[in-house]
Amino acid sequence: MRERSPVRRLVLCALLASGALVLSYVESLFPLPLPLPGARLGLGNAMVLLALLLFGLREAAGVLATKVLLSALLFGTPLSLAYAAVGGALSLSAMALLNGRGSVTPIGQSVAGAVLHNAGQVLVATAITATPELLYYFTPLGLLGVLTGGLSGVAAKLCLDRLRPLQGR
Amino acid sequence: MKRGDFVIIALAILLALTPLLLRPARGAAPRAVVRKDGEIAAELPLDEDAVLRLEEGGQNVLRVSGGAIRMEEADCPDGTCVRQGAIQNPGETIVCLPHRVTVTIVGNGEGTGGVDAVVQ
Repeated sequence: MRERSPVRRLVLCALLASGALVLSYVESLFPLPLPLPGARLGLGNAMVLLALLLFGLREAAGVLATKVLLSALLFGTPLSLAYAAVGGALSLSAMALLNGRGSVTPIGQSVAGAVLHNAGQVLVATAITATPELLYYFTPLGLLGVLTGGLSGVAAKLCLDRLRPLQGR
Repeated sequence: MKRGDFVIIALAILLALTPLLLRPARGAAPRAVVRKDGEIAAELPLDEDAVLRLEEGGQNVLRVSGGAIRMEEADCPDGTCVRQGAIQNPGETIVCLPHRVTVTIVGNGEGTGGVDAVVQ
């Protein structure tokens, strides 16, 4: 669904991007109590998914790029930028491919996005450290990603139902 | 949730499980391969207790005891390598990304190629 006013669309996207940034930051303050580095709830990704659902791929890519660049500048390192960029790009591609299909809800999109994000993380870590055994780490991370992806999909769905009325005005 | 969601979840779980197919069989006396910046820095047999200190570009202290290896200390900002605890089975890995250090257990008979090992 296309927003009529470009200004309105820009403002909503900026709000989603700042929401994603804050959620990523808050998440980083409370790491999951698991011995799995890189495992996160991924609520920031729910904002990217929302942008995709409300507006489209172009806007979602903008929200993602803003979130990735700003969080790397503010809280991250060049390495974390690499993870977030590769993971985010894979994740958004998966979610965009599934977008607008009648048989898939935002929950399925979010699960696909989360697992692909994890795949990107593991691939970058494997490449950087030249340690092929790191690929085994994809199993626990990916399984957890199915769960956390599903949860942030539920979050995106709840937000979507409340934001839809804003769209037509 | 619709049918497509369940298909995606099933596919995602299958995808996550694929690395298990590649996991090597357990060897008799495994050893830990320590890599720094992608280069093998040391190979430690797990049946001999030892301490390995990596100082360059950040400090990491690895300890082998009781047939397992763990990251005892590290001055990296996140400390996730220390929290990963002890590992002992082939395929298990400890990672310290800020210092680009990885520790991987390999079974006996799996080569990592000819290397210069340095053990302190």
